[in-house]
Formats: sequence, C-alpha cells, structure tokens
Amino acid sequence: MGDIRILIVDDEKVIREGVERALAGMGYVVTKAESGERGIEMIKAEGCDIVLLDLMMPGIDGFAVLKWIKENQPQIEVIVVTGFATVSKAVTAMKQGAFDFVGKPFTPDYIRIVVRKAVDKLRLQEEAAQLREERTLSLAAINQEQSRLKTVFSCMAEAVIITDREGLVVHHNPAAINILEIQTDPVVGKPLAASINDAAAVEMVFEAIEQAKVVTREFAPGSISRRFLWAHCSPVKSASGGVLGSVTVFEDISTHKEIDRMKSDFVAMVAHELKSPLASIEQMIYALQVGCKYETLSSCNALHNRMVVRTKDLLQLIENLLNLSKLESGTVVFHLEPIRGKEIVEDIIEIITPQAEGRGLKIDYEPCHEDWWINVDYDHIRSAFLNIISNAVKYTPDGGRIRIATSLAGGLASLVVRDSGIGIGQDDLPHIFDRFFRVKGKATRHITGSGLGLSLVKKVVEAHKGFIDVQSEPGVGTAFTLRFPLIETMKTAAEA
Amino acid sequence: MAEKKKILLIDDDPDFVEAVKVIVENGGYEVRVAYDGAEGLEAVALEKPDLIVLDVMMPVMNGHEACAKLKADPQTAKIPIILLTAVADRVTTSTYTHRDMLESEAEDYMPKPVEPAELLGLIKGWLK
Repeated sequence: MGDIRILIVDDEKVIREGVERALAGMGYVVTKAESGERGIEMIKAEGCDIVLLDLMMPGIDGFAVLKWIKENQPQIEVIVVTGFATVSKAVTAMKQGAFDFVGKPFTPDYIRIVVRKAVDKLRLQEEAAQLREERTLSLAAINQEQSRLKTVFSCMAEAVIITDREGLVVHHNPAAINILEIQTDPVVGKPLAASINDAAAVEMVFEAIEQAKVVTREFAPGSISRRFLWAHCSPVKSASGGVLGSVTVFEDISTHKEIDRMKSDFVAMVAHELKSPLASIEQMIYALQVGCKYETLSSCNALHNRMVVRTKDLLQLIENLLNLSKLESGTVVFHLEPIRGKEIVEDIIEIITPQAEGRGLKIDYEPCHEDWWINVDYDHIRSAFLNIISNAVKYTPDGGRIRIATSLAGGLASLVVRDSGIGIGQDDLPHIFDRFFRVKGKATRHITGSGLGLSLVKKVVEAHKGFIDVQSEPGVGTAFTLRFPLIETMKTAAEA
Repeated sequence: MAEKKKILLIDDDPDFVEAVKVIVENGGYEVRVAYDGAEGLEAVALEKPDLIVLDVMMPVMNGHEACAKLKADPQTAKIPIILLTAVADRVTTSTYTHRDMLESEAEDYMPKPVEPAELLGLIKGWLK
C-alpha cells in the first residue's frame, strides 16, 4: 500500500486546517473538502483511504456522506468528527459503519492516535488480503501442477506404475492398463502382484526398492503380456536417502524386436541366396576335375558354360542386392530429366530382339503414335523396362510371342508387356515383388534369376511416382503394366 | 562284369545335379535324376535304386518329407539315403541344422558342395 490518503470533510475552515496541521509530517496525503457534496465528488475523483467526517454540515450532512461511502466505497474507513459531543450521534454513526469518532474539541495527539488506529486496520486488512491471495495462488499452482503431471502421465505411450515402499500400487497410467493387460480394476492400493501377473516383474520392483538401485529387464511375449516389453525400474529416494517407493516404466518394444528379427532373417536369406549358387559352382568345378578325364569334350564345355552363367548371375545378384539396399535406405539420388518414352522402349526392344529371335520368340510392338515424355532417371527406368521385358523373354517357352504396347491416358503413359509364357499361379502372384521370391516348379527349373529383379523394378517405379500392375494366368501368359506421369510435351520438347 | 549299381540323385538345381552326376558316374555307377521330392518318389516307384542322394531344401516336397515317406514304406525302407544340405552354422528359419540331420531317418548326410572322393567313399560304404 502506498501513502495513506486522508480526506477531511468539514464545513469549518478552522477544523479542516487544525486537523491538517495535526496530521502533517506523518507521511499521509491530506486533502480537504468544505462540504458533503464536495467530499463525495473528491472521493469519486481521487479516491481515498480514510475520511475524517464532520457530522453536522449544511447541505448533505455527515450521516448522508457516511451512508454513501459505505454503499459505494466500503473499504474506506470513516472517522466521525462531531462538534456537539453527543455520544448518541457518534454511536449511530458507528452503527452505520464508522470506524471511530473524535469529539470537538480535540487534541492533535488524539486525532493522530485515532487516525493511526484506522491506518493500522487498513494495513492489516491489506496484509490479510495479500496472504489470502497468495494462498489461493499457490493452491491454484499446486492444482495446476497435479493436473499437468496427470496429463503427462496419461499421454505417455509407456506404461508407468508407481508403488510405495511395500510394493503397493500408488498410481498407474492408462497405458499401463493397456500394455500390461491389467484385467482387474482398480489396482491402486493393492499389491503389485495383483496388477502384474508375472513373478519376475514383481521381483524386479522389489529388487529396485530393497537394493535402492535402478533395475532394467526385458520381458518376452507371454510373460507379462503378449508384447515384448522393456522395463526400467528405479527406486524413489527421499532427501535423506531412504527409499520411498518405485517408479517402473514399461516400453513396448515389439516393433523393434520385429525389425530386429526381420533383419536377421534377411541376412540369413541373403547368405543362403549367395551360398547356394556358389555351392553349385563349386560342385561343377569338382565335376570338371574328375569328369573331364572321362567325359566327352562337349559335356565339359557345357559345365564350363554353366559355371560362367552361374557366376555372372551371382555377381548380378550382389549388384541387385546393393541397388535394392541403396533404394531402400533412400541414398539413391535420381537424376530426373525429360526423356522421350518412345526412345527408351525402342532401344530396349532392339537389344532384346536377337536374344528372343534366337529362341524363336516373336516380338510385336504397338507404339503410341503421339510423342510422349516422362521426367525420369534414364538409367534406372531403362533397367526397370529391360527387366520387365527380359523377364517376358525368360519365362516364355520357345516359339512364343511377346507383345509390347505403349499408350497415353489420364495424364499417364502406360507400357504393357504381355507374354504367352508359363504364367504365375494365384498363390504366387501376391509375392512376386517380394525379395528373393521365385516361382519354383518344373517350368521354372532351368530359368535362373536372383529373385530381386521385380523388387527393384517396383522400387524404381514407385520412386518415380509410377504404378506397376500384373495380371497373369498360368499356361496363358503374364501382363505387366507400368504407368508414369506424363510431362508436357511441347514445353519439354522446346527445352530439349 | 557285374551290373552297375543304380544311384538316384534328387536336387532342384539342374547344374548341381549335372555336376554330381558326372562325379558319381565317374565313380562307376549308373545315375538317375529327379528335381524335387515328389519326382524322386515317382522315380523310385518306377525303378528301385540301390542308393539315394537326396537334397534337403527343395520346392514341392523337401528332402525330409521324401525321406520320411521312403522310410515309412517297407518296399523302400531299406534303400540307404544320403542327405545333402547347405548346413548353416547358426539356427535360422530357413536352414537346417546338424540336429535336424541327426534326427532324420536317413543313413547319412553331407554338406554341400560335396567333395567327389568323400561322396564316392560314402556311397561305397553304404552299398556294402
């Protein structure tokens, strides 16, 4: 509170100045009003803390002013000054809310004492108000802190269980019910064992409490829940070092474990895929060592040729594997440029035709008559197209037919490669883009491949915002359709 | 000259089959081939071999299944079987372990690729 403002309302100038003198030098701000009306005006305009009020005034008298103050500014303390020291009037004034009264004539000392009392009351009131405010504020802060903690708790993906020193559950969050698959509810106030149906987990918590140290452990599916959990249990210590309880956090690491397993499986699969062709090559070397002494030259040549083919395939497999790994890790930088679609397709047909004709395969090409352009990485798209077309050649029996057609529709360019090959069974069709998947059977026995070609094609096509579709009927043939977004021919043609 | 003993060779890799065929033929045996377990059983039904060299990992019917079927049939139970496999050092879902081999009813097993002398030695031993 700043300086105490005191207003003296009295019609007698002598009294006004007398009181002012009495209060001078006490650190109060004193103002004066010569009538009731003026007094109310000044209170309205400037406000004040204490009013020294004459009861008997012409116009609005002291009682009316007092009434107005108590109705409008009840925090102002009013000290009644009355010239006719009639106790009854003073008592009436007190009943109406005055703080005290001073009878005329008065000594300056007496005025000072009464005013000091009023000031003390105001100060106490203010202090009390401040304390009340502080208390409410800190209560609000505590409430807020609690609700904040609660919010954090319930938003956590990890399960949190808090126990006291005896292992009774004090608190747990919604994730705990979910992750730990707690059936019984409520579990608060019950032993931990009622919540977690696993002796090892309960033992972990007690270990943390008894030895006052952090304990971490993994829980395989089927122990606490159906998930793979990682638990971090820490004791809660008081300032003096005693253990008050425990906080255990369970994290669902099933996904990490699954990725881990997939990685190991993949490594095993790669190892196997690399090992079996090598085993065959080594076997052929053995065969040549013993065989060439007895066998005809042509048989030895056949083995030699197969060894070359298998070695090349193996190198290709490693190459594909590296490419696939690069594509999957996102480290491949595609050098996109406008490419004339017709050129890329016809280039591949030229390469593949001698190979196809050698096996009596007929290649039909139905090109789109419009000039079409796609924004792609030339090398990647060329190898994808080559892969699809050479697959058609590989999987079509001698004397068969391969139809290659391009067309434009709906802002997309389509390349359809249709063969009269062995086809793919319904069971195998969903897996043909899987890594290392190869259709196995009598018909494919002599066809070699890495099982990575189509995985690569799919990755490349998707990286170019394209689509790949396959339709197949065993014994009839397979059709692959690749679609890519077209780019404006005129503009890019001008640039090119 | 005594009639040549017949060896049936079953493996899904034609190059591997061809290579082993050369080795076994050079060992003085007559060789028949099949490319999966089911084909192998058909070949056995058609012409009973004196010994079977059987790959474990094959499509359609794998070596373990084919072996179990052959051993369950009194007509073929006595034919010695040598299993071939790319035995891995570690236990994984896609490869077989030594334990699998030991638990099999096959007479013997060898890791791939097979050394000519070792394979011929094993065949000779089981044909006695």
